[in-house]
Amino acid sequence: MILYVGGRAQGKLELALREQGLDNAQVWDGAVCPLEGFPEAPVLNHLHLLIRRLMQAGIDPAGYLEELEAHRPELVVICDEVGYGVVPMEPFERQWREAVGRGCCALAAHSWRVVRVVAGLPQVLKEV
Amino acid sequence: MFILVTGGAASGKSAYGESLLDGWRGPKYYVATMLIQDEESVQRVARHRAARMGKGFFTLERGLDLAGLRLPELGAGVLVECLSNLVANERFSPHGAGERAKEAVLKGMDTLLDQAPLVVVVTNEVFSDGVSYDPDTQDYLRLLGELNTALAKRADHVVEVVCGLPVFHKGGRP
Repeated sequence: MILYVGGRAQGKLELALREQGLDNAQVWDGAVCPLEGFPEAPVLNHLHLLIRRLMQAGIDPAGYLEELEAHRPELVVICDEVGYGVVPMEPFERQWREAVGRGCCALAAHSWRVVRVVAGLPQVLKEV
Repeated sequence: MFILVTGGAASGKSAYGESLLDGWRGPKYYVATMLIQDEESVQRVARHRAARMGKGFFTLERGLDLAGLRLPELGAGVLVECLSNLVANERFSPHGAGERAKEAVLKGMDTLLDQAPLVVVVTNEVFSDGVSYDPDTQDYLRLLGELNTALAKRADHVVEVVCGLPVFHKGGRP
């Protein structure tokens, strides 16, 4: 897998598409995609929103990500960094933030390339 | 040697901090700063404990008054987890230092650094959600930010952990 992480609106998708030679038609959007099955496009965008939707539907995101890795080892995954703020008061918000962080740690461990994006610029955290 | 490890929520900073003490030949102390208040903190402590299992850490509970801590043995490697809890306890707990929380924490760090040749402190990036909080929380954010900055100045290495991967901000790879 290849993982792109960074704050909101940092140009993650654009950078990922450029680096991977892909276009917008090849993006699976975690904000609206079906929760059954796995992405049918080479890029999964908005992983943080997909994790939120999985949790709301009562699906364990860690288990989902394990299966995703097994089924789609070539996938390019893009996720917002959501863990750089104050601990939220709402239990669900805390659990979501935790799940996104742990999920990204798990994906990063299995990725051959991990990039943090700041202002559209890549900082390569891992390259195998 | 003083290493400051920072990172966001669930970024893998604890596991990375612990790994810095792998292979340490002297005694290994885990200074736990969380005061157990609810079921969630019980679960959090259990998860961290399980992760440390078999790594040879001796746990010292120290939610307040780090300056009063005397390590049982010399030559130790110490992991303090985490600064954000210690600061909140000093600032807001009835037995904490209150307005003098910053001085209390800095004095505590000095005392610890005098007693141990390797100190790893885990802190937290909580500054980037753009939310305006109540005055107490704003005050806490400023305090923790100032302490992170002050400790980074003293540290030999400063490492941010992102998705479990280290980013070296000062002193290169420890």
